[in-house]
Amino acid sequence: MGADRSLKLLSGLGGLALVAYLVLWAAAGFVPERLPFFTPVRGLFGLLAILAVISALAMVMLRNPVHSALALVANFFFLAIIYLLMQQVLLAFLQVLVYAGAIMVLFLFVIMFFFQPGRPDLGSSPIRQQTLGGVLFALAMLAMAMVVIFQGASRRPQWLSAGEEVRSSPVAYLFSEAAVPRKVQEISLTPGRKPELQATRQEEEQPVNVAKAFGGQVRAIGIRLYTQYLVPFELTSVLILIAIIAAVVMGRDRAKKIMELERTRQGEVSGE
Amino acid sequence: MTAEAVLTVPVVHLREWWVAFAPGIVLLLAVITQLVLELTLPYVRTNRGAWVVPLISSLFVLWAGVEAVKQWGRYPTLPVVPERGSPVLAADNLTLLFVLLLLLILLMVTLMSHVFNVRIRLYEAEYYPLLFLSVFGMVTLAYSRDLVVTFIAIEMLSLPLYVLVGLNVDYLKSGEAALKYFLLGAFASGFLVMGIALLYGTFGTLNYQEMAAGTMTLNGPAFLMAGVALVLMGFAFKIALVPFHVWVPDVYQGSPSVVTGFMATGVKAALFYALISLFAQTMADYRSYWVLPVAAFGALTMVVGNLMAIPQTSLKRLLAYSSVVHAGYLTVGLVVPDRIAWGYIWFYLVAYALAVLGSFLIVSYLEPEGKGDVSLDDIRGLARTNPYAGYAMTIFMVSLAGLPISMGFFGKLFLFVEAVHAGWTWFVVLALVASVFSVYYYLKVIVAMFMDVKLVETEAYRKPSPSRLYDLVYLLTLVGTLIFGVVPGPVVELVREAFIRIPL
Repeated sequence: MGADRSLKLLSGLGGLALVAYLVLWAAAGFVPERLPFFTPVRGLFGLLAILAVISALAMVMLRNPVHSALALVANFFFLAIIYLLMQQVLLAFLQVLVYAGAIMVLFLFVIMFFFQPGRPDLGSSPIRQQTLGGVLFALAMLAMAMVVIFQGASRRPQWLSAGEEVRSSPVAYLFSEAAVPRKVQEISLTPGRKPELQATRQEEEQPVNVAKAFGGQVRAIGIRLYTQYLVPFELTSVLILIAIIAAVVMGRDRAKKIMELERTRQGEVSGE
Repeated sequence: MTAEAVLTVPVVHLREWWVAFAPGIVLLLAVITQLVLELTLPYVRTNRGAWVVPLISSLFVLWAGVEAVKQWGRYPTLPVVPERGSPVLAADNLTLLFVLLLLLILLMVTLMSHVFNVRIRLYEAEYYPLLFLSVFGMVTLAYSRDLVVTFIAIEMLSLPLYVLVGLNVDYLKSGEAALKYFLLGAFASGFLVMGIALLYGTFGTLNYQEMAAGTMTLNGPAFLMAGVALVLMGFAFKIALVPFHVWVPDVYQGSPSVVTGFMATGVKAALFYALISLFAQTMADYRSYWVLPVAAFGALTMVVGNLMAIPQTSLKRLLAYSSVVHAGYLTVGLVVPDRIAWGYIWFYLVAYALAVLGSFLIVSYLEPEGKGDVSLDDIRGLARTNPYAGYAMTIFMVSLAGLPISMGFFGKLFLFVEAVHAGWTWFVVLALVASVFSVYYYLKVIVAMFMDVKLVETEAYRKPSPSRLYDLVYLLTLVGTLIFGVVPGPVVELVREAFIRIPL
């Protein structure tokens, strides 16, 4: 079972899924009543989700480490756009800046240092059962995530006070009523649910002011950081100090350093 | 901009930090002093002046100990937002007991390091700062009453250890051990963060007090179960419970012997207190979620750890598996809902720390030049060539095995009696059977020292002890193990007194 074959299989299946999805989305443009899932937001979300999964799989399966790293960067970008769809502007920007920007550049540096053009193959692992174990573990984590997500989605968070909207939860926003096209909603409307329609209409008439949302999120996080989480925030500075010291020790050319030290130490002792 | 623009940012004054968290602050002061000394005084970097930094550092440790004792019975807290009222850092008497234990371990390790480091050519000026920062992390962990602080503290205690493990240049396995420990440790941290996120999803707060006071309002039991499982995995890695113990023998063997002694005792003490304060105290209402997994971890640890320890021929690997097994015994105290049992966990950890530090002290000065490890062959006939080390090692082994006339015996006794009272008979029976089996490999060490004939002699065998500071640690560990093995009363009184009043 060659890794090349599974890679071909992946790209084939991924491409098929992508094309099928795009066809469905296009069809939804003609018959929106039949395919109520495809609102602009959800349609985009589905596309990005497929792309994110494909890039994540590619990251694991590609054999050239540089390609793997680039696939991971792509994955970070897709996730960042999904965060944007959830109105989490700050999170999206941090995702791009910190992960795709800073951390992946470090990754690439390290890969470039150790990458030997003659031996591009890092794919074959010496442990046979590793793949099977990894797949099983991934499935277990997936099952857990599913349980957690569905159990979580079925209940209304009770820490929200009465005035607040459930929509402040990002996932809830993505799948909220506001994202459903008005046409479909008017069809399914019953007289008893009239206030709800008004609410959604108001929501639609006032599009989210991105700049305000961005500033608001930064402000909210900043306030939390400097009030409720002030002590951990200050302790983090010690953690960074530790990391700096540790990096200095690890990064030093120890063999040379020790020779030098040995000389000074011996010199001092015999000089006494 | 309306009224909401007016925001008062709370300031934690240094005095508040000092009142609530003096031992930690003293440790930070010690780190700064060490760094400045190493930078400015060339004398302390020569072989003759190598004693200066550890000596000054030990004074700082004593100072931190005094500050910890001063907090006894005063329950200091550090809340940041007054109207919330739930502390982020706090100390009850049990916390202080654990902090004192950590400081004791740090003191002994500091005293031991000085001679040993010169021997293995460990000249890094950052050795002591890293050691102290690691203990700062442990002390923060003990004071922590908030999951964010807990996580940061665990990182603070781990990061220096990743470096310290790899500092033995002459020993190839040292670098390997550092890499293994770092990679697996990073994974474990990942699990821990995931678990903390799910616990937040369950309780809607990260604060221990609010978690204990509130109800599991959000998201139902699967969230809590997954969160507990992941947090437990993260902790189990650090204290080496069985499915997550694979790194232990390699890392313990590879790192410098004194650092191994520090890891085996300090990390375990700090993490067990974290387990007590997070699970046993905070999540006492949700016992059904975590008690059985913890017991299963413990049972598995005792069985597998013992089986793996029996065939070992390297003394450091044997002690590594022994430390795995001891983590298993300690979980017996964790599942008991009575808080006096948590005090006995502390008692057990004191006994364990004294015995383990003592044996690693002997290992550290018996190990042949450039070898980094002592095999059972190396210590043959030790009791005759070097009776000091031979008899001391015997006492430590007896204490680890839990035989009478040693502190280890009372440690096991108190813990197991409490567990039986709480109805955990099967667990205690298993632990007893396991400790009977464990006597075999502890006796193997004693037999090698007393019965076998010496094959090769190295110079270490004739030297009684390489330095006065070594002797001091010898004295502390030996006297502690023996005296409290005969009259454990004062220590038990201390434990009982700690529980006169617990706010929570």
